[in-house]
Amino acid sequence: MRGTTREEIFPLPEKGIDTAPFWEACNRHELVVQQCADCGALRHPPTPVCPDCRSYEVDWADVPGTGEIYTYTTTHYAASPAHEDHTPYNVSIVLLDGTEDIRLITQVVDIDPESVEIGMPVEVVWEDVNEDTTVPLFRPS
Amino acid sequence: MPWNSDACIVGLGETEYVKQGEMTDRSEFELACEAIENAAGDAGVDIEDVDGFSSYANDRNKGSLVADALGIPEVKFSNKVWGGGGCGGSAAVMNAAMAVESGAAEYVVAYRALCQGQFGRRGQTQGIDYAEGTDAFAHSLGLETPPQMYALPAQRYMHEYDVPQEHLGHVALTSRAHANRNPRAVMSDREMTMEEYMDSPPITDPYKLYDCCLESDGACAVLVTSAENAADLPQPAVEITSAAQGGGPGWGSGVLSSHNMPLEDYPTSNAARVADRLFESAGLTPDDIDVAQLYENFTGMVLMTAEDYGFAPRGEAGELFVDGNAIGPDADLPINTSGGNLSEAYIHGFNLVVEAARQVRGTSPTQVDDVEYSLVASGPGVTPHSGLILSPA
Repeated sequence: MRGTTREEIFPLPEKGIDTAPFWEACNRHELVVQQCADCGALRHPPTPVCPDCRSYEVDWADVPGTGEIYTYTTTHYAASPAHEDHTPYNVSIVLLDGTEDIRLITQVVDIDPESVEIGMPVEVVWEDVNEDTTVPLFRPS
Repeated sequence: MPWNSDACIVGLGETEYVKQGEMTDRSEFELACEAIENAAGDAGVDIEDVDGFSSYANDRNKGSLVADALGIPEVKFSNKVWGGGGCGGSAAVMNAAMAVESGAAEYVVAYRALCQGQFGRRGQTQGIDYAEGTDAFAHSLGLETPPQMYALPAQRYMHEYDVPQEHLGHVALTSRAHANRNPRAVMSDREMTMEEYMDSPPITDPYKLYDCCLESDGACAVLVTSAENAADLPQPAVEITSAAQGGGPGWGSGVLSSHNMPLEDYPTSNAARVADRLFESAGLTPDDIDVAQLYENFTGMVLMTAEDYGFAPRGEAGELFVDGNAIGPDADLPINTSGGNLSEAYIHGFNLVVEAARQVRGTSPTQVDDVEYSLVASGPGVTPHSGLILSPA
């Protein structure tokens, strides 16, 4: 079946024990990155233990919600019948401001996918998929 | 540390390779059994003497069940390598060699059967409603399939080093030209020009259709035993001269979901550390290699793998492939000499291990003269990546 809404095209994020605080912040339209409560190192995607100091104590740091395109792809083929009316679409890796090297997988919207470029400044824009789920997309800033 | 084993590959087994969906009379599980029996038969070893089963990630055909189906009287070693897709193909052979060397088992088979026509095609999503854990950060944001996942480092690589699209195309042309010399290759009868490559449909930038591996049905296997046993068997023994597996920090899920590997590592195949150990433990350098099989799930990764293995400086691996430089037995470094994943068949790259061994035996469809060292690099971009250097025993 062809999809028209995000829910029909892509799987929704399941909130796990390690990842729920990220997705719950998204529901509040806040972008957060997991932070070690002991040494302060940022890490993403979320994991239960700090790879720098092995602490299991976790905080969540607010980040500005801006960044730049580190790399991207424009997807032209439909990976399932649900994708057929959605192509071409962008998938990007955004290097987040306020971090040294944290990257978020996202989609850049409000621009022709063919016009996306590495280095382009972008800002978060929230898509409320349903009452339980919001995902962070980005647009040119 | 030197690689402390003289275990050998003594048997090569394959089924026919066909386009995904064309294998309708036999199950994937049956093909696994058939390839393993063929490897034992090729080696002149009674199938009941096979006592170890070694595989790697994404294998549906459990060694324990294959052993039962084949009537193996006693299993002494059973092992599967972690990591995604074809990254652990060489590691499965490495583990087989370590099992033999330790005395844990005597005849260990490493294998892969893949019938994408009977299960999900890897370029297609499976229609799931929710993505869990780390995968949620990828799948829910549109990054769902391997061509997309491997397009991202390729795009960054091409940006950083100003690599033209044609360099990817020459990787595809190299595999195709070798498939045209290989009657067993799925693409044996189909030639390809650069114009056809450039005109092939875009899949996910920078990848076009011909940058992507085939989707195939088939199976293959190799049988590993001690050098002492190998000396009494009919086939020329292929020594596992060096083997290595692993990867750097942050590459656990690597390009398959995290994309948070160290920035300086990002436009690479995560193979450099493994390559260094592979050469060091054999006392060899890249210049010693006579022929190489470099896993091509997607063309861009072949360029990065070639650089991680030291065959070219960063950003310059395309020069290995342009102008037919890697095509044919007389090339400086012939690469992917059976047609590989792109044009022979996509059996999660295990057919590359078989081809690397054939080059040592002298039975490749693009046979290189007097091969002393034959290298195979398994799948890129995740941990563990793995590689082997093979040579005449």
